[in-house]
Amino acid sequence: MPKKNPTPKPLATWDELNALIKRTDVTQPKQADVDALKALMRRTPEKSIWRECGDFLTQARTQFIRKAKATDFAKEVIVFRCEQMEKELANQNDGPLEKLLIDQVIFAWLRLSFIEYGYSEVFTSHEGPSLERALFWEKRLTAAHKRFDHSTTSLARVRRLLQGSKVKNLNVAVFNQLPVSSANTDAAVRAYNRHR
Amino acid sequence: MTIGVGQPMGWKNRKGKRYFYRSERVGGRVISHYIGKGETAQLISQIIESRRDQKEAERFIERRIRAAMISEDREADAIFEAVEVVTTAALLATGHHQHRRMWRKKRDAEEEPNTEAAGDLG
Repeated sequence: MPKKNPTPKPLATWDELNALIKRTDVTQPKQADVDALKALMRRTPEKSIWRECGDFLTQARTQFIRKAKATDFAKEVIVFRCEQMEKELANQNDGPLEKLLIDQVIFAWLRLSFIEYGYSEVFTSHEGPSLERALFWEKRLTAAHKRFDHSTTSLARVRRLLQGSKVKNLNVAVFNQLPVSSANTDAAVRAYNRHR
Repeated sequence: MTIGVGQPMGWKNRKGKRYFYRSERVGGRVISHYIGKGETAQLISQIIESRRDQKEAERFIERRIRAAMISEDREADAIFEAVEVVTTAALLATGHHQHRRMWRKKRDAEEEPNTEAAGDLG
């Protein structure tokens, strides 16, 4: 009798993953929970949590560029710039987690750049923004900065923990591309150094 | 007196005739300003009405754009949070733990290469 192919395990839901994290992120986690988490992270590429998460980021980036208020040529340049950044930030020892975090840095950078542009447009408009509008953009920009800082810090932290690298040049590699003010860059570098 | 700024304007009937007034709030009191009557007042009223409609339309568009941006930001936040969850899971699976919000390698954690525990994207 021919052997039946084993039924592939369904993808773990995000709730399942969160529950596993809660159980393992304690001083003395149960070995069974740790093993379950390891097994979950080791799933095959076709149904891995990495792929799912990576797909979210890729789709989000594509959609963001597609929806952006820019000419087709400008969009092409942005796509090229993103691909270039991907290569610049990559490291030969990178695993899937680092690749995911690089995608996150690029997406955060993209959002920050566009939000900064929108912010400057609002504040340099002829009649000036209303208080409500100014507050909205101020909040939006601050949140985008935080996300970007956080994403670069995450990548640096993961590289330090998993590869033992100090990643001293990460801030230079990323921040040199950014049209952000020096104050924000300094804050991001400080945050990065704090977490290092 | 600036036309188009302040409270809505209105027509008032006085002794069978229609007069156009503009009301505005000054220091908690409502003061009516006489604008005029007849065709001129009608024209001024129409101009003010159209300016008001235009401002209302602009506010409506602004609200729609802002709502779209908020929803876009939320979607992005959800993605960032998902990456955060996966990162946490990967670090826990590779024998790391958080101590005072700082990630560290557990002392008794078995040494295993990053790629093995962290799967392969292919």
